[in-house]
Amino acid sequence: MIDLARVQKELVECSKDAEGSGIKVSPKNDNLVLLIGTIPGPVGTPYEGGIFQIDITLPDGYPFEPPKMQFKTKVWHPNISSQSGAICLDILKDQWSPALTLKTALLSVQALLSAPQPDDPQDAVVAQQYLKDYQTFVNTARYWTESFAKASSRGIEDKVQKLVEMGFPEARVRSILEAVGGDENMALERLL
Amino acid sequence: MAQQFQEPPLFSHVANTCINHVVYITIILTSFDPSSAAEVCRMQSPPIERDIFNHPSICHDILRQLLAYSFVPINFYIGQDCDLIPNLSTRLCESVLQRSGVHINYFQVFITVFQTHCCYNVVGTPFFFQADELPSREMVQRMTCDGGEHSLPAGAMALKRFLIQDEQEDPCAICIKDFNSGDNAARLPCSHVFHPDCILQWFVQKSTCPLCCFACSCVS
Repeated sequence: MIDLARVQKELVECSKDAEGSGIKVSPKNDNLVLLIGTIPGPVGTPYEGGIFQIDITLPDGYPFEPPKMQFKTKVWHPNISSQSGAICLDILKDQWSPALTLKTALLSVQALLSAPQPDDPQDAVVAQQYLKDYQTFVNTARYWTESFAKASSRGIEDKVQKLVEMGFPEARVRSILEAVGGDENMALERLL
Repeated sequence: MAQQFQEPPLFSHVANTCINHVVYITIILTSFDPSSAAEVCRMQSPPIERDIFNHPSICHDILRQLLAYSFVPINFYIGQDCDLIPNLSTRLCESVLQRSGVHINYFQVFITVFQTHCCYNVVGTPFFFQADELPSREMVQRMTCDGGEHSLPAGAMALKRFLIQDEQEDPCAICIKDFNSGDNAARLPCSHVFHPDCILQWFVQKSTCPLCCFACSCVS
């Protein structure tokens, strides 16, 4: 049986520091089994400026078993499945401890965004790109952040629309925008 | 309503050795039928109504009190992962059902306590053992074959139990509840403190300190 009193305390603790850390946790409904976590993309990374949502499910054995976490926001990262959002992180598996909390787990996920571990990948395609074509990885990760993790995800669509109106083919516009990480001016240079 | 135990049972007895000891607990169950009133008056320890088995929480509480007076180490029966008391209750209930025609039942509970586990057995007897008539160790050893065994989590022996005297600054890191004066607490060899229930439940999975990962199972 989940220790609901502890989960309540955790939610209170998270809300106290939400302004400073940007990390939030809120229940999906009346029970405290399903929650949504929110983390900001770390500064100085391709994920900067993005707000990433994470689905959290608490097992019956929580806090003696780790919470189940999965990215809801699409993210391009070697240790996070680009398809399912599954996270490869040791403290969410065998290295869990009941002294860890939802907040510390989310902080660890945020740290994972800053420091990918391509040798222990969740997504082999992304890990390969990270190792062999780092700049393309950075551009793609930034493009995915622009596309899926920003409130102004319409920004990409606006840029596509503008460039298409200049007469460039849409498919080529999209692929070049992705390659340059969503930078409209750089995309224009390459299209010409 | 079941009578409350006010004092330890008169005939609990401990035979102690370095490695293990055997605890005898005598439990008297009666239906308080009028015809047995005279017999009840002659008993030297208070009887317990057999109806307590219809109220598991009351039964468990009485057993816990009996165990507390019988020198069974507390970590054998305190903690969410310990099933010794429910198991004893089940055995007693089974024994009672086998002897339902008798108004007064005597039950001897034998618990052999080892370092990391205990064996227990419940034996119904037709008469009341006097103190000097307790079964020999050999007899008890044979009797425990029909009982059960209860193992502690691997790290439990590393715990040092104590009562909180001053309120601690840090709450239990597992349930995030504050320690108050008089609360039960358990200190690990690494000096981190938790509620006994909390840390024993974690030790079922892994005998490490949740805060610093100190391995507790190799300490004795």
